[in-house]
Amino acid sequence: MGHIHGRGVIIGTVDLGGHAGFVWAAYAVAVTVLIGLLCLSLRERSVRRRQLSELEAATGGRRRRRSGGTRS
Amino acid sequence: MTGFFAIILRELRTGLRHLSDISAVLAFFALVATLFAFGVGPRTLGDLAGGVLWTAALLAAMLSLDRLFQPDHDDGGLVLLILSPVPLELVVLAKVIAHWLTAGVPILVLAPLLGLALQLPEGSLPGLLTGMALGTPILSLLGALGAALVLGARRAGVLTALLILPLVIPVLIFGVAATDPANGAAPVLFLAAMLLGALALCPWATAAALRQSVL
Amino acid sequence: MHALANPTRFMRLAGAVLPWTVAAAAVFLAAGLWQALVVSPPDYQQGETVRIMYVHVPSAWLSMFIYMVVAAGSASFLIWKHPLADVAAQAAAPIGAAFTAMALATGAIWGQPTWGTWWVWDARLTSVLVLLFLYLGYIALVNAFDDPERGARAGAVLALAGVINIPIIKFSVDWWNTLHQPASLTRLDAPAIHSSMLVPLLLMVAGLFMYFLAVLIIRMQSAMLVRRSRALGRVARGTAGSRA
Repeated sequence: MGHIHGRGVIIGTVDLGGHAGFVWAAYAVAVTVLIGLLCLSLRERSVRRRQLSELEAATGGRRRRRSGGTRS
Repeated sequence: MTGFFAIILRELRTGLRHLSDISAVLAFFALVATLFAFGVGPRTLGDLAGGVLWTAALLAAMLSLDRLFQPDHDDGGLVLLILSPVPLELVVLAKVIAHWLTAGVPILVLAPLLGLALQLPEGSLPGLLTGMALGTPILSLLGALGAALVLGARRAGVLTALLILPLVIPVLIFGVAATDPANGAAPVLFLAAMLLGALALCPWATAAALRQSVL
Repeated sequence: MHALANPTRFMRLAGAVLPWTVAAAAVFLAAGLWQALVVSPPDYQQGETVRIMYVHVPSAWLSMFIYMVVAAGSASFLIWKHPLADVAAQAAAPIGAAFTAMALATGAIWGQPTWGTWWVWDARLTSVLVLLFLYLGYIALVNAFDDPERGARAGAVLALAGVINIPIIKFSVDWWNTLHQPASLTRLDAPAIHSSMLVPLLLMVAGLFMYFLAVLIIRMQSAMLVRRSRALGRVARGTAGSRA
């Protein structure tokens, strides 16, 4: 596998010709954006989760109050 | 219908009472054009004049939008307008017409003078004026939507510009194209089509935005 | 559809779906990257730089698709008052903005070897830039109010105004581009798509779509947690008013 047109699996800088840097840069930007957004979203969720549990503890186990945002 | 004209008259009267607002818009318009002249230098100015005038007009139009609904929102008159027997869409249209008369028309009047100063090419003036005559009402219509959306927001002024300027890019493109006689009548026709579209949709969207702002 | 209108039930369902979307995103993206960087042949005109297409084109497609999601969510929030539609729209917008920024950055990186310049005022790139401004305006408006309900409603009206304007903006930018046609440029476009290019392209689209779903669910979960905190705070203020 990977020898579909006679190249090795590893595409080194030599293999990508003079423009390898551009290809790698584009993929690096994409991966950075995707992972960055994922990490930000995950961190926000854990912060919110902690805030809610602190609030629940503070209000004396008044758990599972239905949210007020559902009325139309 | 009498209510409609009454609102236009009332808005015009308050607009004319605050003449300093109108002159501030015009001064800003002239100032931006002057900044461009300093920025690009006098030699290349002639080719850029159409684009410079339009850009300056867009920015100046953004300045005057806060007086459309903000005073009514602050003193509670907005609720009365929403509850009044005149449909809110018509109220919005009346305010937009008054806004155009006190902001768009002065810009339209000042534009040829600034065009002279910026060495606008000879044949460009008719295109500039027809373009602006059709384009500035679109700015007032879309600007009213932006002004209604930001009522009660933090940093409302910057926000209106951020929301509306991307939406008026087509006006800028066709307006500047209209200043070049080589483009024929097409840009002017596009501007007229956009004005009709904005006239049909914007008062309705603005009224929706106003209603939800006091909900 | 009706089952999704119940926030509690929806969030339980979303929580169950989330691991699967994460797994699907990982599988598709891994396969897509391997196809894009290793298996697919270099283009006979553009050489190896054509590989940038496999990340640029999918992110541009998704950036437009996500704006439609935001607009659809806004419409169903305004018209049917669907209690989760505004949450979905607001959660989707930053993801769409990220994809738009990604499309712009990879487009610039593609432009340098292809055109010899980082940025060309070409119709496609310019339209994507305007789309980024639309996203930024929407996000700024939604977050500009002390009352989140107010921000949600204003944002929904703006998203609908934007979606009506997008075809007009696209048309005007295309027209403007023919007016100022620069010296002949090879378009940043899939050059006559061959099946060896279609496979990595579709894999990347599928992977990024699954990524979008996963992050959307995570962000919606955050929003629902905030909502519950606010409701709880309101209840606590109501019952403990005498102590305050």
